[in-house]
Amino acid sequence: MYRQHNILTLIIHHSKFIMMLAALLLTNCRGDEIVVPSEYEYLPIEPKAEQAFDKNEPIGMYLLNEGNMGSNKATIDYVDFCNGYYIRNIYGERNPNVIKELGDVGNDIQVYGNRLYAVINCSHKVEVMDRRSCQRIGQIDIPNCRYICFHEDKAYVSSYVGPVAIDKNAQLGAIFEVDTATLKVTRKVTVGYQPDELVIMDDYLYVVNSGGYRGPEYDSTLSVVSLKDFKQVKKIPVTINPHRVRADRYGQLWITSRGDYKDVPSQLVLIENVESGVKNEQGIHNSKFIIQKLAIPSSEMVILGDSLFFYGVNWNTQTETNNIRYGIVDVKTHTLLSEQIITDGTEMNIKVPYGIQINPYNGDIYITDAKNYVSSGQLHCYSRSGKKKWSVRTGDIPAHMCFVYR
Amino acid sequence: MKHFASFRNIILVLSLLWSSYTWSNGSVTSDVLDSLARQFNIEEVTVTAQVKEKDVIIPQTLSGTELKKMNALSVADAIRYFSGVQIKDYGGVGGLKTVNIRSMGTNHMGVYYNGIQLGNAQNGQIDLGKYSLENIEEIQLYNGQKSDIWQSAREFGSAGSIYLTSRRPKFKEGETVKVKAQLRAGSFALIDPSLLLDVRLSETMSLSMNAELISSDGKYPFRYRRVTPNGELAYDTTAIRQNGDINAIRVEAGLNHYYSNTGFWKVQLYHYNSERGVPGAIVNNVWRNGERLWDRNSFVQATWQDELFDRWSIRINAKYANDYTRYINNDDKLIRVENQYLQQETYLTMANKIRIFDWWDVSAAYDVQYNTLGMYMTAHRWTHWLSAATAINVKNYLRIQASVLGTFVNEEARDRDEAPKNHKVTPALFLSLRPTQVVDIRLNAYYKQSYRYPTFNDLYYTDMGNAYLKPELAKQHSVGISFTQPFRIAEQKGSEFRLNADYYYNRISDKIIAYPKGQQFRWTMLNLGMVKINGVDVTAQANLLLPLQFYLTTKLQYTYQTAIDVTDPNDTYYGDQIPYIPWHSGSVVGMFGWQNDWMQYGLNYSFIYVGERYNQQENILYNYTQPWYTHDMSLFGEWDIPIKNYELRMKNSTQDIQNSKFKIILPSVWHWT
Repeated sequence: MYRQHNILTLIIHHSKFIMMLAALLLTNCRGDEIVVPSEYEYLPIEPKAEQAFDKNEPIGMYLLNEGNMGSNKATIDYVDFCNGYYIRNIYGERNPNVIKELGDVGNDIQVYGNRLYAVINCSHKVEVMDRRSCQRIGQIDIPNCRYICFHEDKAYVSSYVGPVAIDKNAQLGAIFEVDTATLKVTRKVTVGYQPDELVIMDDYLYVVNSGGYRGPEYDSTLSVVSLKDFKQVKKIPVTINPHRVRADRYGQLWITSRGDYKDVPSQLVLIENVESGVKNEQGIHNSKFIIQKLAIPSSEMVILGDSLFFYGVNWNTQTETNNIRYGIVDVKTHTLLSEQIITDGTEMNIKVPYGIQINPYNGDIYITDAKNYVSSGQLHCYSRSGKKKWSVRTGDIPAHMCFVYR
Repeated sequence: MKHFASFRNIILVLSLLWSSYTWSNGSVTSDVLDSLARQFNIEEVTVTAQVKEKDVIIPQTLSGTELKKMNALSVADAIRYFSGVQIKDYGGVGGLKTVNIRSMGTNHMGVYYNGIQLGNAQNGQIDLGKYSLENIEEIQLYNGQKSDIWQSAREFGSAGSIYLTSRRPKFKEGETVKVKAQLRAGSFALIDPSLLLDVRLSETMSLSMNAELISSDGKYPFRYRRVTPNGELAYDTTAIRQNGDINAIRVEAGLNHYYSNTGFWKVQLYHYNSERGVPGAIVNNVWRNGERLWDRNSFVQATWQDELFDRWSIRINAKYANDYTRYINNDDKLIRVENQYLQQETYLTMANKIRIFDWWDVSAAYDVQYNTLGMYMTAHRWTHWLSAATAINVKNYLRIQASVLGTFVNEEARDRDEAPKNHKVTPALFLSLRPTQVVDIRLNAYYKQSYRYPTFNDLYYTDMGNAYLKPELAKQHSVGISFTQPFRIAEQKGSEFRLNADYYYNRISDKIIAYPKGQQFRWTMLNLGMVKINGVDVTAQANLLLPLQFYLTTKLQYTYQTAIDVTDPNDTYYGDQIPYIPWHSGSVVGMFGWQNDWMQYGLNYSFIYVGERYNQQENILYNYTQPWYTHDMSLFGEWDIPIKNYELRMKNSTQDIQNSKFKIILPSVWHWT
């Protein structure tokens, strides 16, 4: 009997314990969820008044972090060259009322006029912001949009979605023309499969068609679109699964190919005679495009003057490691000038280079590291001689950078 | 993230039971009667974590009426009440629900349906949301492995095991046919009719059939609300989940023959067919996704067991499973995907146990399995398991169980010169000490190694698979104490108090993780990860049988754990808690009721709490996930109104008295750019 009494007491204690614990748990409950605030971090940059900056000297650099698909973690960071600090995740704080923030998979960012344009791939929109405050002005809905470029008062956006075709396997892509004043789509032209980067030279737009949704039967063409009547005037085979296209000051186009990830490696392709090639199509000239494939693996590039800075990442199945190469190509002589960009050995700390940009004023080199794609990346700054100046933590998959001027 | 809304979820249950009493009760063996009596006992009294004398490891158990009162639809809903487990729930009736024990990962968990493991060689994930509680009588969860060494070899291979036991037909004296029709309906257009038919073919043989349909539109509201750091409302929006509908049908049939005191055989058919929408992640500017999924799981399994020569227990299990999956992505903005997969599994095992002395058992088992995957990608695999185990009981003071398992995997020909070794040997040792026979206090300890073999997806998935993966190793160390005390209240027997506490340390090495490969979001699978897990599980329970036919059951369960990534000190998330593992989690259950022969009333309350955690590897504010909790209260009355042979059972319960939250797991999607 005595023992029974003990047990009952224990049970009473036990139920008290339940209530205490429940109370404890309830206090540790959900609170309000806040818009993730921006974080500020000082960089070893000498602060300088904005008035002291040259007209052609960037006062800041935006960095678009892609965020892994489905995570809605596209974010914008800002390097403030005036105050010498880094602002991580500026969009949410500057635009707290935007539901679900910037969006899913940031794919391109550019400044044009007074505005900042961010192409948010899986949110199917181009976000338009003020270039100084990063405050939202509006958005342009473009399905599966990829890259953006500008000409006069128009923006041109490549998109994986062209016409809603009857043949479901086709899915040809398109270029959308947008009026930058009204943010409305004005014209649209169908190009090749899964068009990626695009560039405008004179009155023509050049876009590479990757065919990424069709692997292993990738596309391998460059579409030439006349801006006058917005028609595709020519589609020329260049290289398998092309990704990027840039123009240099000699009227040449530089294209990177991703390869097929198996037998064909990534490479750099050069097109000379672009202007006459196009005009040949229209019967004005006899010259043809001259296409040169350089055996240089290249994932991303940036051209400054006569120098094309690139890096290439290729997976080696035998060693289960990434083969990473950096280098500089002379765009005038088409020769490989250097096998390195970073000269102090710190490139060893970069797991997956994912973006490159060069400050046109002082030659500083910015390279991002996407690491494992699902955690914070890093932005590294190197001097023009390739010595590391500083590094900073970024958002997930730091990838695209553009400068802001006074 | 706040993906939840306030709402009420009403579930109404109406069931109709019809019995035919034409069986003339002849000479039913006393054993059968005994076992029936015991089962009826279980029906009336809530029996949980019933400590069998043999148990070295005490399982967590939910069974009988307790399970019924949970108001849970699927096995996944019920498992939330166990300590040490985490459920990954993609939300809604149709969302994938997987279970993870002591943070070791879903693929280390074995789920057994009537003693035979449910397989998924393609991705290793068993969706417990598919297993309806309608036909389940008991759920048991073992850390480590089952106590009884009379088990198939494969069962020794899981780091933790869930045993689902389907309902076994029970007949009252003279009853031959029993039909039960039930309709459950609830919020979000949930309709869940089921039909049950039990036929007593002879005094020892019975047939049971069960069919169920589940349908829901999955259109539940969810809410996003954010405030600015200085407290102003940033936005507050509520939306309705789209493309979360499900239509599923489940049909089961079983034939049992308990032909002697020791022997029986049974054959079981299982068929599940469903079509569902995959709601997908909600991101800025996108509120609807176009993914759909069709699933068909069918299996037939058979068991025979008996005891020969008074010492040799033998059991033979066989199974054939055929699973078909079709996935499409219909979004015209994205890449169109249509994939179909066909998996087949053929399995045979023989498990033997020999009683050398009353205090010493030894066992040996051999299992063989053949898996194939076809359609979208093809792969096949032979696996052989060979186990030996022994159990020693030293005068009820010390129980020892030791086992060793050999696993031999033959994959299809690999194309690289050096294929990793494909056989592994894993030991396990379990001890249980009962220092005194006066009170039931037991000290338990175990050490176990187990491997998770790479799945077909890990090995061969297009572009991502890596055929050279090694198995992932889990090492578990656990110590615990348990205390059980039966007592009586006002001369009424059957009340009980129970307390259980465990501390564990687990280490996962060669963890299979996705690793970035080359350019542009291309991944591969590598044996790179390492995780260290420390945790404490505490369970306390009191079952009170009160005077005047009142009863009260209270149960408390709490888990604290750290599961930290120690892969590479250079990673930004080194030393951080791994995704979706909360530090604190727990549940509280209270059931108070009254019953007599033909009616009962009850008030049930349950509270589940999952503490703060992070949804990605780095423990930073951006990845922070708020605690999740839910209160459920149900008030019910049940009246058996005998109209001739009919029993009309009515049950009305109201669920979820406070906020309920549907948490969407952020999916990891492999993406091409």
